[in-house]
This record gives sequence, structure tokens and C-alpha cells, in this order.
Amino acid sequence: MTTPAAVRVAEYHATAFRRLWRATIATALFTPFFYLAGMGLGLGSLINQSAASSASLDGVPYVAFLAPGLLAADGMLIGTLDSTWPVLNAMRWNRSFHAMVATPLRAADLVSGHLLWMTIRIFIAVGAFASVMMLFADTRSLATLAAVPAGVLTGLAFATPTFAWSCTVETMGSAFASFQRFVIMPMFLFSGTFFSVSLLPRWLQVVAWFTPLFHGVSLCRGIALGGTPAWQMVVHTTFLAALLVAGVLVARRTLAGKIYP
Amino acid sequence: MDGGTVPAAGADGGGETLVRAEGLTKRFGSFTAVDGIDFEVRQGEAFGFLGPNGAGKSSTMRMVGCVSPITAGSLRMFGLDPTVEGSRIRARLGVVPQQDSLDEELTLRENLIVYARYFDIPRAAAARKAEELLEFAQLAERADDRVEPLSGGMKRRLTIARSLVNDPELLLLDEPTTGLDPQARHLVWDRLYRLKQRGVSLVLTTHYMDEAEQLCDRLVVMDGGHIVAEGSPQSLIERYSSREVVEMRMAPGENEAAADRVADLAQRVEPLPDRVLLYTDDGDAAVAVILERGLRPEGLLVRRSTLEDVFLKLTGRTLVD
Repeated sequence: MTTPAAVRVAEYHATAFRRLWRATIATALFTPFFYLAGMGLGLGSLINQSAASSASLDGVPYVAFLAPGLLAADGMLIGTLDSTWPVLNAMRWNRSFHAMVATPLRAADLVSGHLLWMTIRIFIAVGAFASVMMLFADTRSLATLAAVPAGVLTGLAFATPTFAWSCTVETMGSAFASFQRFVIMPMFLFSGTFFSVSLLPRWLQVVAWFTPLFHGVSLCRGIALGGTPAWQMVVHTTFLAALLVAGVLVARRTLAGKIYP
Repeated sequence: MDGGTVPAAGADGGGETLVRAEGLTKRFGSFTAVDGIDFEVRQGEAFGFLGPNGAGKSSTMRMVGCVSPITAGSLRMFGLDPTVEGSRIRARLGVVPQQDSLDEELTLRENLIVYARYFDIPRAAAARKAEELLEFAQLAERADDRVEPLSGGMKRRLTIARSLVNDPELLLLDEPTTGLDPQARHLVWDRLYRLKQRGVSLVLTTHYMDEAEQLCDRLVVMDGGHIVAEGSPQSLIERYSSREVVEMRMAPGENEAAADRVADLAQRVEPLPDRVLLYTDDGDAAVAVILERGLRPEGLLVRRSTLEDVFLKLTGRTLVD
């Protein structure tokens, strides 16, 4: 008789998602394919010719270097996107969060329900990404599949703090667009997704180290390609997990503050 | 009273106390929305909060719905304290919020099932309940349509249907018919009346006096965060108004002067910008004298007193501007 509250909340998200799943799955499969084919193989053929570049690519073809980085970034993109607009929608427009708290569900259940749903949602995206990686000879390996949980962790490390902030956003305004432009986009470009952070100027390397995506990319790449010392993997994992937990704790407070006026 | 199944109703018709508020207060910063009100709602009763916008009705409803912490005073729901037992209390409530909170992308049926799941009702039972409630709300034909294109009245009925998924002991309705056209309102009232007949206890807010008269056994009139009167619609009218009211509509600008000429014809004469109200127990007699005195009103009618008159007497203002 008793289903955990988080599951009951996630059921709502899943019901709403059912309307969109075809388009979502298509996007989740085609986007990685185009990225890997275009950048990995096209641009990669240029990069692979240079002896100098292979040193910063851990000695693997460019597509093999790039793919785990993009996999982590995909987790980030879904984790943030689905924790911004849909949260504003649930707070302000369709008010589904208000409908939920009028029932036995509590604010904390809404947070854990979102976390559960995001785990599933990011898994779908990152899993699709890993499946596409299986199409390319240079990225086809069991280790690629092992990077999927790390990609999910990366996405969740973004999802929970973003959720905590999104509940406090009052209007459409430009908050989310600015967030995408000035936080997510630079991180996407400078946190090691496309090239090793070691190629950046010293001070930017320090900045990059403190971005969650750097840890996500390093973790996924470390799993997919091997060769990263275990202690570094522990640091990356801890960094992401800490962010996830902090996000949950803050989200419980911000959501309760807004939804129980 | 009808020998039905309503349990343990006392001789005065009052059952077990479902809501007890004492000195209930809600402040937002320096603004006091609800200022120390006392009231009780008993089982089987339809209890109303009547008042204009900003009177504190919705703030009171949110506290009673256990989604807004009280600032001061005390509140007990089913004898439980909302501060610590909010979840358990909400499991026994049905809530129709002022603003619809339906998911317009989902179908009517999906909205009901998803909501039933919040109460941990098993899927199969939820599906059966959805079927039954769609029938009750006269929406069965639209069950598998999306909510978005529905009319305001249909959405309201769906929200009411949704509030019943857990067979609530107490139904809270915050302005259930605001914004609906007359036909849609009557349909909603009819459904609420049926629920009342089944013994569901209701608490509702409204700024329509006809709604309060139709549905409420007992009501409080709120203004500026305070309760200014309490009783059954009939007793409030008896206490604060006359049996009948003569509405005399003069040409624009002449109402004030005309009021002076008929001041002796009623217990109380109230000049409004667009008409003069005469509170009297014999409207026809007053009308006869008005015509005798040579007044030529553009409109003249006798009606019985309503809660609107009570409100006017108590606050000096009309309910809906």
C-alpha cells in the first residue's frame, strides 16, 4: 500500500514526460551522433595529424578523448535545463507543486521526487549518449558504459542546486537565459570538454578546477580511458556528491520558504 | 435531522468539531492579513467566510489547509496540530484552491490519477475513483481530452472532482465560482449541494452573497482581517437587516436628495451613488407612500433582504465593487 513519497512525485513527472518522450529520445540520440561525427571524426582527423596535440589527448584519438567529456556535459545540460523552466512552471504557471503540497506530500518530498525523476531523466540522456558512442570504433568499449553512472552523478550535481535556486525565481525575466549564457556555456567550453584544461593559462586552470563540470568531465574520462590515479577519481566523485547533497539541503529550505507562505 | 447516517449529531445539529481556531493570526511582515479570529466548524456543516477581496479569507483558508504556518493563536484540525501533523491532516482534507492547479498538458483522467497517487491510493483504485468522479462532475465524455481547452466552469468542476479523490472528511473551497458565468456557477453549486447532502463538511470562502446563502448553514462575515458577524444567513439578516428592502433608483445625482424625502418611511435609509435602499418590514406600503409623495423614480422594486445588505450595514461598503 505505501509507495515512497518521492516515487509518487516522480510518477507525476513521468506522466507529464510521456507526452514528450518521442521527441526527447530522438534528440537524445541524434545530438550526440552529430557531435561525435562532426567534431570527433571531422575536426578530429585534423587534430590527430599533429604530433604535439596527441600529448594533451592522453594518447588517444580525438573522438575518444572528446566523447566522455561530451557525455558529462550532456548530463549537465539536462540536469540544469530540467531544473529551471519546469520548476518555474510548477511554482508559478501550472502550480503543480502547490497541488502537491495540498496533499500529504511535504516540500521535502517534492525535492526528493525531483531528484529521483532527474536521475531517471539524466540516465535516459546519458544512456542514449553512451549507446551512440558504441557506433564509433574508437569509443566502443565496456568502459564507456561504465562512465554512464558518472555522467548521471554529474547531471545531479547540477540539478539539485539549480532546483534550489529556481524555486526562488519569481518571473520569466532573463534569469534562466543569463544562467545558460554566462554560467553553463562558459563551463561547457572551458572545463575540459573539448580540450585538456592543462592547455589553459595557469589562473584559468585554477578557475576550471572549481567548476563542477571539470570534475564531471575528468571522472567520466577517467573511467572511459583509464590512467587517472584513484585518489583523483575520489576527489572528483566527492566534489560532485557534495554539491548534490548541498543542493538537496538548500532546496528543501528555499522550496518550503516559497510554498508555505 | 433526516434520520440519515450522519454520526453523533447533537440535538442542535452540531457534530464533532473539525476545525477550532482561537486568536488565529497571520502576518506577512508588518501587514496583518488575519487578526486574531475565533471560529469553529463542526461535522456535517457547511461553513462560509464571506467578505470582500483582501478581507483575510484566503489566508485563513491556507492556514486551515495546513500549507501556511500560523503566526499566532491556535488552530486544531480534527484535534491535531497542523504545525506537527500537517501531512496527516492534509490526508483527510479536500482542497479546491482559488487558482486552478491542474496540469493542462495532461488529460482529465491523468490529472485525477496522478493526484490520487499523491495520497498513496493504489493505481487500480485511483483509476476507478477517477472514473466515478468524472461521472459526478459531468465530465466523463471529456475524460481523455487534454485539460487546456476546457471552459473555466469545466476546469472548476475537475478541480472539485480532484479534491474528492481521498474521500475527504472536510472540503475546503476558496472562491469556488469566482469568474464563472451564471450557468456554470449553478452547476458547481448543484454539485456542492449534493456533496453536502452526502454529509461532507464544507468550508468555503466567497464574496458572492447568493453563494453564501445557497450553500452555508453558518457563516462569518470578514472585513480587514476581523470577523464582524457570525450566524446562519437567516439569523444575520434578521439581526442586521429588515425583512424587505425597497430599491429606489432616481435619475443620476438625485439619489441623495430623494433619500431625505423618504427618510421616515423605513427603519433605515441608505443612499448609494446609483440608488437608495429603504430597509423596512413592509416594502409595498413604503412604495405606495413614495408614489403618493410624487417622487418619480426610474426604477422601484421590493425584494427581500440579503447578506449583501448585512454586509453593507456592518461595513458601509458593498461586497463586490
